[in-house]
Amino acid sequence: MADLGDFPIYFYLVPLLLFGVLYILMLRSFGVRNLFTFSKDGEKVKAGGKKDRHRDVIAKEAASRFGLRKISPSGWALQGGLYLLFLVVVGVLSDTPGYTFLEPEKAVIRLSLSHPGERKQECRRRSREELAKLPPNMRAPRQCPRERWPVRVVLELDGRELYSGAANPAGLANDGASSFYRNFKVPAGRHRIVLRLNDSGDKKPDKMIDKEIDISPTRILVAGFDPRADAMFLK
Amino acid sequence: LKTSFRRPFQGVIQRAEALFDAAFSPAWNPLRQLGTVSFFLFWIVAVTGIYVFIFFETSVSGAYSSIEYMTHDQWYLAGVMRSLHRYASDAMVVTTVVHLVREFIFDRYRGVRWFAWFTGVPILWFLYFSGISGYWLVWDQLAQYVAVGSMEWLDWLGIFGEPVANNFLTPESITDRFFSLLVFIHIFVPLFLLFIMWIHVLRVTQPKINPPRGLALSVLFALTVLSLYKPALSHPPANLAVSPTELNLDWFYMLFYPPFDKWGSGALWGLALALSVIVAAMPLMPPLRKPKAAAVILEKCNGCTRCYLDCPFGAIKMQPRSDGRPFEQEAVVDPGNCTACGICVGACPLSTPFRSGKLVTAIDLPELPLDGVRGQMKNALKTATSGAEDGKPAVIVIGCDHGVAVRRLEGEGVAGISLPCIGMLPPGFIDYALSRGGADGVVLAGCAECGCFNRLGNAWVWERMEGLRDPFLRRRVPRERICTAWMAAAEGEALASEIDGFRNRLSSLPPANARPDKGAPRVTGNPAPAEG
Repeated sequence: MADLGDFPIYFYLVPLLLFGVLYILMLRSFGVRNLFTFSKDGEKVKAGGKKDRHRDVIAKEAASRFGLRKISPSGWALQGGLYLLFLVVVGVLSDTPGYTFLEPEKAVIRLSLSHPGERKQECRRRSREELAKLPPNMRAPRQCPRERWPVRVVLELDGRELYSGAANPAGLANDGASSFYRNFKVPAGRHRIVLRLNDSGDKKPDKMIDKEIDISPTRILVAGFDPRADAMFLK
Repeated sequence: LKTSFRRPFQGVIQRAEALFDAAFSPAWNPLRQLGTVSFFLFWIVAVTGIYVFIFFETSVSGAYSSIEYMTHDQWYLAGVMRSLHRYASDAMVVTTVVHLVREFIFDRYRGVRWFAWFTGVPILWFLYFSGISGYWLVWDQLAQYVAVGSMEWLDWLGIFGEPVANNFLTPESITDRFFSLLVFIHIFVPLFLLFIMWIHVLRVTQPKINPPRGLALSVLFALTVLSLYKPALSHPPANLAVSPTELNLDWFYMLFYPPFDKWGSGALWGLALALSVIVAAMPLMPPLRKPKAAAVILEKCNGCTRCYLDCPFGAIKMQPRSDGRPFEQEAVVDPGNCTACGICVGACPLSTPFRSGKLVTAIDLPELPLDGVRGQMKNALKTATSGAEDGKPAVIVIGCDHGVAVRRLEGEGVAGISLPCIGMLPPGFIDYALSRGGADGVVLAGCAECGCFNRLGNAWVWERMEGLRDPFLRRRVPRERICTAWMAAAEGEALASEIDGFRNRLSSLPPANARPDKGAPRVTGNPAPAEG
């Protein structure tokens, strides 16, 4: 049976109730009967007063014949053929032709990291005079400018540079994380991979990982940064 | 330039439609029912989706296995439902896209139709979003490819603090809660789709949302056969540590993923947004000429509501009388919704040509007044009768501007007039041509059946002639002298052949002057009353 996962049942019911209003409007607009029943010709005529309804009956009766012709045997055969053609188009294009996303002898290195650069300016303690000028509720002893350094990343494969780029911090105040996301299709096999990251505007040495690694075919090797270990990783 | 570049395409589609007419008959012709079939396919997808959801497990480990259970263990019901769910979704893309192309080719997206066209663009987006979100739920390699690709595509916008594609970084990244979210998305995005489909037809009067019963059942049967013959199958289960290699894409929904792989997110966003904006803005592109809307001549209008009931675009409203005359209502035209098709003129009981002096009806087209139509008919009658060889019947062909160009078929004993829509023709004009004009026969040549440019024009004319819709064609009018030839613009030769055959049949009828009205004294003054 359907599993509602971690969500309580009302999680599903509330939007349904909200949509219910829209659908009641829709049913009113179409006319409930016409929404769920197939008239012979699919014709729907809005009903107004009694006079209109009488006209609707006439119109429906007439419309049920308009456009209907006797189909010849060859016509029926053609109809069958056209349905067949339609099914072939739908059936074939639903999964054919095949698409090769990755050659079987290749692997993927996925550079994926999100890491905030260091603050451009160090925090400093406010002087007594400065604190006195501030409203009492804003007298934080330390002042930390929010802007961070862009993060620069270099990825090398067997001494060849695969990627080199910098990402600005997210946020209007440039105080968020810098993010990288790139895929590189590479031949499977043993490779020397070097990943370097600089988050301090070149004021400090790069964080770096340099590793020889065996990448099996079709494997996705993630190259990233572990904030808890404050180190790069390849896994 | 007005529609010239479309003409060749129109010809191709009209020939295809004629072929389909022969196979399905016009009323069941799927090419004329693309919108209604799309609605029907949506219902199939909804019903099968509800059934499949009963057996679906919203968890990382259960999603794939529950679908495999449906496909292989319960193939006879849940498996068929799954396949129907997929194939009906695919078919909906086909019908929706062909519907869009057809409306464009036939220039049915401007003027009063702009709203339906414009709201069709978000329908496409929601349709794709619905389909793609459904593929995620299978959680096979295809789902993995689509999920990661879609997230990478979204990340290009830079609106998220961190790349959302990071949610698919490792197998541990995905939780059961994620599948609950996916189910939530896959239910409510299609509901939004349905909501926009409703808005899409909101301004259409007498909208068709259900296909003819036989067509609907045939489509359902055909898709069921396909589901049994070729059940929808899954790829191997997703594994975020390994990249998918060979994939069997559903090209109806994933056509844009390979270009995305090749060109990158920015190019695809540019393409998708540019296409959307261009398509949405098409109603604003030239030529923007709009004929003057129909005008009500209030002193003639008695509020009979016939024009209101016949208008295919809801451009006429009935409102309380404003001039103090002893009628309840009066017709009012909303120029914004009027296409000047003239169907209201044909519906007005005062639109009878049996009058002397200037012909004034209660609702008329400023650019083609009914008096002018009568003048054209008089000239055409004179041409036809004077041009007919001795003993050969004189025929007048009344066509519409969107069907066969009837003026080009003029020749010995044949003359034509063209109206904005055949529905503009008041039945009295047929009577007039036969009883007063000296014609031996009248050919009505509107658009193809169920293919009227103005939606309902030829259907209304047919009903008027059958005595099923006011104003009726009088009983005294000899039906054997009327030929209806509902044909598309590309079927000029077929119409010429139909006219020849009709003239031959007329030759075998008693001489026209044996008819009771032929040569009778002309009645002037009061209009001929319509018979009920």
